[in-house]
Amino acid sequence: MKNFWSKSAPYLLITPSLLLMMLIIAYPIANSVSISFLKYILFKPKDIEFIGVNNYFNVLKDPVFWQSLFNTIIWIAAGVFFQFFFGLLLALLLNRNFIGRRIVRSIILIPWVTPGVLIGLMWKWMYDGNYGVINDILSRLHLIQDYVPWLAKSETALLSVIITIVWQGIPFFAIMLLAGLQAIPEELYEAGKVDGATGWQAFWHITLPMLKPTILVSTLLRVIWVANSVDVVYIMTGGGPGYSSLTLSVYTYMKAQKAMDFGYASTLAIYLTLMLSVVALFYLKNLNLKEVR
Amino acid sequence: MKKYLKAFSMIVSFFLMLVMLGGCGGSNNDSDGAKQQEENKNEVVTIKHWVWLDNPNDPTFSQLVKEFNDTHPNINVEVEVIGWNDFHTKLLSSVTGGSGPDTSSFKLTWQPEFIGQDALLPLDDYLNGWAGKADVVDNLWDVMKYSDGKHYVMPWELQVLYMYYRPSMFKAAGIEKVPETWDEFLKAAQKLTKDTNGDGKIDQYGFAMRGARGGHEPWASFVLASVPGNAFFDAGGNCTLDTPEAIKANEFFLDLYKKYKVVPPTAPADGFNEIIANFKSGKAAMVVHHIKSSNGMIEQFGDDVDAFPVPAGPQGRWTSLGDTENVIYKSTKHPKEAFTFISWLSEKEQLLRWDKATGNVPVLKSLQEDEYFKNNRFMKASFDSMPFAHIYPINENMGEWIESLWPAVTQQALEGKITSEEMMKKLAEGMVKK
Repeated sequence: MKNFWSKSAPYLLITPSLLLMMLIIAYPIANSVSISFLKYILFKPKDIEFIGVNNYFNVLKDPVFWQSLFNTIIWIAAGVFFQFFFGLLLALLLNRNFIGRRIVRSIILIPWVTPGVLIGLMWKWMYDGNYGVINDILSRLHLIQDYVPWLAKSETALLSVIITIVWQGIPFFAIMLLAGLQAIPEELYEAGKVDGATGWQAFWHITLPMLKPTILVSTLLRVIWVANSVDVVYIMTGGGPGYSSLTLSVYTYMKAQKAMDFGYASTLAIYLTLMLSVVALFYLKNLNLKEVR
Repeated sequence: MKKYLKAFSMIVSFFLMLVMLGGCGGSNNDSDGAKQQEENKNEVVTIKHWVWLDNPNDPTFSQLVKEFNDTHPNINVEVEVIGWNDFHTKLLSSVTGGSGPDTSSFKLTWQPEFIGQDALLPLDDYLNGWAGKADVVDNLWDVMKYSDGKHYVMPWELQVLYMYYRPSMFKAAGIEKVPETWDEFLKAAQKLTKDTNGDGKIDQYGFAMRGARGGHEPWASFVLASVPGNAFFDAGGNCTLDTPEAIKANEFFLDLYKKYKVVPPTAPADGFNEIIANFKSGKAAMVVHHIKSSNGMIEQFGDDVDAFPVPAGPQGRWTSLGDTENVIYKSTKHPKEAFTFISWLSEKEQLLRWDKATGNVPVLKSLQEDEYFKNNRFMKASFDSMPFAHIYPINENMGEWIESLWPAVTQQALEGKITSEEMMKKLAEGMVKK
């Protein structure tokens, strides 16, 4: 009997958390998978029917899907890369000793703690083609002749929203990487110095390898967040002009909330989830986490 | 043995889960029953009412409800104010899920979704007994009749789109009278588009075009003025948007941006906030909107803002009617009391206060004769526009059409990525797709 309890007690103990997991993770996922096999338009609750994988084929035939997928790849690649790049620079800077470092460390968090909706509205007015401060500055610097309607041109709309999301994400990387930097033992640098390493060599052979786990985890997290972010794009451009800044997550949002086509929207969401899972798996496999730990 | 134990404990866990889930469901039912009993005992009927308010800081609505509750001791109306942006989605999902309110504010265009799932109560029997029925503005009952011939809504608020303009700018540009036709509109807009401070750059435009979400309403005034019958569908039920007349009229609209450049270069991305800002900052001399903007305009310009009905095309005029009604859901246990409340809101005294506070166009004829409304120049533009004010077609495609299709193809056409014909074909297809 004692044996029985010692064997089963762990399972009983995890029951509550298992239950919660089932409720808030497994059930919604299973539900959206099952909805994706239905013709499920909320306007027509009487016409809900099983249509197999039709939604999956229809998505592949949808030109807007391909356009938004293309935009999403640029959105993630450029967005996350520049967030990381500037975040790393900032982290290295903040890792140095200077007066007022604590204050600066708190201040740089502002973009990160500002709600996405607010960021979208703020940048929308900054980019405004009639009164925007960005146009004002650029024209005073004589970099542009006439005001540019940044968000009203398909050549500049996606770029403009990417700059916004980069601004939002820099503090996240800066803080994560700063924590990583401070965990690197000073002895390594001292040993490097003894061996005659230059600053660049120290960075390349000590800082970067030691930071690798932090970089991995934070980049992966950010890729997923950026891929799923709706607010900034939706508020700033609504995916426009045309479909030029439409990302897959915004398209999914519009299909679900505006067209009320939950079957199609679930299918889009599942495609996005699958693609992100592949990226995540590939990433974690190839950049072996255990090895660097 | 080990394996069995593992399997056994997993099964136990599973059953525990079931028990817990079942427990939740059970307790819910109990509280429902208790609630019912309590209601019967006190004999005060509770009506849950959902509303969105354009100005959430305005206490008028809650004052009205308080008065209603005070004067109707057997009815207690509980109001929930929900933001406009979430209202439709929240309402639709709650009503579909069976947890909706008894009554709520409503838009005519939402009818198919709710009537399609048999959620709305037809009001004809109640309306026939309502004293205010004959006082409602002519044609409104026709506009509000659903395709099955029944009425599901109680009229409450009205707005009609018309053109705001700046008399001082018109005078400076040498324009004597307000444009009556779209051709005159273009001529006026060209005169109004100019460099006012002599730096060689255009800083004033004729018209604040809305190319982003919501722009479909002013846009239809351009297109349907050229379509025989001024309607989205002809007598045979065919969509008129891809007819040659509509395509040509649409080309005129696009050319305001592409060819004549009488609208700000930001037009494809301009939504409501931007066009109003453009007008208020003097960047644009004309803008289409309804009476609810008028208080803000007067605050900004005093007497230097006026209004005229949207210009006419070769086939007449068309403008968009904005509406808010109140409805009763079939799920309510107290339809009679619910009707007492929503009809009370549309009675003369309450409506007068509400329309004064919110700036809506009265839905009652007797109120339109009221001095307060008669002497208001924006009310006059609204009343003048009433004869050709219509709503967009009501069908289940329109949510997506309005929110994403129209902005996307209009922006593509404005940028020259597709032609006027391609744009109109897509819009016609989107409107009728099955």
